[in-house]
Amino acid sequence: MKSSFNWSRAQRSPTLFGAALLVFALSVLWPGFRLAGRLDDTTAALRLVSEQRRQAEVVAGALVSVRDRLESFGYVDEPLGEVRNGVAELDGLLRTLSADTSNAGTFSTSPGRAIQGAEALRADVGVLEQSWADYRKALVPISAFQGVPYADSEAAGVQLNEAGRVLAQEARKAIVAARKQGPLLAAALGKVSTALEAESTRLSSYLRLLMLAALVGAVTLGVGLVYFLIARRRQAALLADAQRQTNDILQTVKEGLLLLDGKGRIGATHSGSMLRLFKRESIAGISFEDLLKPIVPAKTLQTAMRFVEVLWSERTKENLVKSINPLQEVEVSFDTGAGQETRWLEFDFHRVKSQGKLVNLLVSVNDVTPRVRLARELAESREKAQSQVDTLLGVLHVNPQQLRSFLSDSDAAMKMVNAMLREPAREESAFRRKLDSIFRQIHSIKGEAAALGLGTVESRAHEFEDALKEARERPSLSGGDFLPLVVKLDDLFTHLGSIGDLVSRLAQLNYGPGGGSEETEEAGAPAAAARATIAAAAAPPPTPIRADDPISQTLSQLIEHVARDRGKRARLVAEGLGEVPAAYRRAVKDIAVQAVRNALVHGIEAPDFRERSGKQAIGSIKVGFRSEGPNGFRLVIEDDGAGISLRKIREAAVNRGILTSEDAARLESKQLLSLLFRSGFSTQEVTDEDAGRGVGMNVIAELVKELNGRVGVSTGEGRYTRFTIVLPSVAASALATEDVA
Amino acid sequence: MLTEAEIKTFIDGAIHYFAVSARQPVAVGSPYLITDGTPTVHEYTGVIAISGRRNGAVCFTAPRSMLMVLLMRMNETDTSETNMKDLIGEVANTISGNARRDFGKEFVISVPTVMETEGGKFRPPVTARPFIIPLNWRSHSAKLIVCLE
Repeated sequence: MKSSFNWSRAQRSPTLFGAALLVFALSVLWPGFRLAGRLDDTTAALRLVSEQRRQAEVVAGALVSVRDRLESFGYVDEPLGEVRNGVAELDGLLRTLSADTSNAGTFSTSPGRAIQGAEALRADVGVLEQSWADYRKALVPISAFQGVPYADSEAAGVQLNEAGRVLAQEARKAIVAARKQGPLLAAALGKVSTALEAESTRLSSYLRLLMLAALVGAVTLGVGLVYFLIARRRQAALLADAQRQTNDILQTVKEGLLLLDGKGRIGATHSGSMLRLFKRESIAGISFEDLLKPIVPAKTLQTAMRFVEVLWSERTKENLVKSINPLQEVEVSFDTGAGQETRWLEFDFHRVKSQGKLVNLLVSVNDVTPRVRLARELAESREKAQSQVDTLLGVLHVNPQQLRSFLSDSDAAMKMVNAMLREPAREESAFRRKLDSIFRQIHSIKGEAAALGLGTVESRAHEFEDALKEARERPSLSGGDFLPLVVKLDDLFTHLGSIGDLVSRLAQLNYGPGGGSEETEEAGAPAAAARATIAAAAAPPPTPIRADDPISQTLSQLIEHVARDRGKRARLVAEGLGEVPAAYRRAVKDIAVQAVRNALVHGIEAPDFRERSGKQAIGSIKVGFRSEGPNGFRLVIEDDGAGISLRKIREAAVNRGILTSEDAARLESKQLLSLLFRSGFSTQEVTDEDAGRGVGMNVIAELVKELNGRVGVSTGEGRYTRFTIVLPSVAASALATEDVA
Repeated sequence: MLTEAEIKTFIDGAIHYFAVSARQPVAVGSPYLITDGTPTVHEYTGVIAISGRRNGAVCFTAPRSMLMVLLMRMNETDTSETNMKDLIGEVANTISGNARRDFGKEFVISVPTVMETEGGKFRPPVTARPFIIPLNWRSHSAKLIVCLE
């Protein structure tokens, strides 16, 4: 918004012109006015003198007429009146001319307007006064005469009476005086008249000069005015051009620009984009708060207004303040009538200073919606890609059969959980039963995910268990308390579904047309082996990759992962697990997973401790399964670890409020060990991903119960723990299940 | 992933309606998922379309018997089809209003539409797994279907 226009000059010109006009008025017009007044006075005086110049002759004629009429006894009132009038006129003239002669010789015809230079007339006026005074003396008896100058009697007829005679005598004297003083008076009046004419001429000359000066001044001012108008017009054109350029910039720029004053009001000038950005018809005059209020949440508005307030404080550094700008990238929402439109705006603030003083805030606004959306899409796809890579890396090492089995089992378990959730329930006890059942299913998924090293699944299942635990601890339950569980179930479904999709896609790559299926695991390359593993998980491979049965593999991996996480060392000694009947395979795997995990967490000691105790550093976990003919099957899980501490069971039972300390002390070892199978019972104080919720043993007990089997536990403190599970023959179990149904 | 708070907002809307209009609270049953993608609905269904941060639909579906009792409870003697539809629309409207208040400008929530869906299935506009929240009122049971992605 830069302009070449000189604003100070533009502002100065009218001031200068006004001052010049004032000076002109004071120096020319005012003296002219005064001079014209004086000229007027002089002219008036001259006219007065001219009018009275013949007055002496008129009076002389009237005196002769008085005398003649008295002698002929004629009517004298008329000439007497003329004498009186003449006296009055000349008195008036003299009063006028000599009114201010005492005032330093000035001469004035009207109050307050003295004729300059009248000192020259003073002598003439003095002569005039003297002449008139002498002449007037002779006239006074005549002008003062009142009455009738005649007396009429029968005897004498019409005669002058006494007054008439005196009047006649005074008239004759006055005629003599008039002959002597009349010319003098006329001469004095002539001199005064001449002096006034000279004064009048002088004043006229001055006035002409003044008028000439006025004319010159007026022409100069006129020229100045024309110059000024031209300059003004040029300046106006420059201003209009600058204004047009500013408008062009403001209308063209995509950035929203506005100025805020100290009261937070938006200035009248702003970029055209502002209206488009804020979907308004006008924003001038409204406050910044009013502008933001309809489009941002109340909390954002509050923060933004506080920020603007801080910007007005000049003590704070602008760059520092800008770094905490809450409107740097703000989500806004517009009501379009048909719904809400969400966009992202970027606000930037700059302090505008004038003569070192903060006067405005320049606010620039940009619509960064495409950028934000793109960034979000990029972040989402990056996250998705990362998640897929993580999942891929997670499944690459898993045995294909195990993975396939896990995905299938987990899907069934989750559907089971959903079915349990769906089961109508209105009573507290029904809700609690649901929770226990769901717990077991999720714990199984978690156990197998841990065994397979599927960390993303394990962590989700663990979080699910957290939610279950929280629900369990509620004093009362309602359907709404299951909402977090359903949300987590949905997440687990989605996650396992994505693993399934990934595995399927990779299998297609391996087995599909041109999928590069030449490589086999025999090539020995890890990548090829990995592809083979995944392909095998999605579709049955032509030959098994490892000779071990899936349950043994699962347990080996479980031991490997848990031992590594806990800094322990252990090995699996498996026997007969490949002979598990199909009907028991899932249950045996779940039972073994829980028991082996317990053995590792609670039984097997740390290697150095074992060595100090005279044991081998590597612990041993034996899992044996054998058929006992018509009596069914026997599953034994035994570790050579620390055994089960009855003291810890007692303490845990008391701490968890299951038993009083007296009852706990009274219980025998068998009764104490049975507590391990109770739901929610654990001797571990802290819950982690492997233990602590008291679910594992309960899962074993419930599974065995479902299969109509029996479970027993024996232990030698510091030496071993052995779980013995007896399962009926498959036919017997099926029969028993039908009976229950 | 749909959050618990988001679903709870819709449930709260329904709870609020029953508490205020029917003056008798509704009990929320244990929620579950529909894994085959097409939840069954009762005779009357009010649908709220949602876009913005989430896309999809939220439905309140109830059987005729429940709506009839609800109308009677509200001293409404006219139990015509039109009134039933008006009622289901009103419940959906309350749910939608509650969501508008809680979600603010992040969600674009439509005006509810009412469908007569006897024995039918609701086909959600998105592929997300629908959440079903049973709403038990007296001896009747309605459902809130939340299907958002």
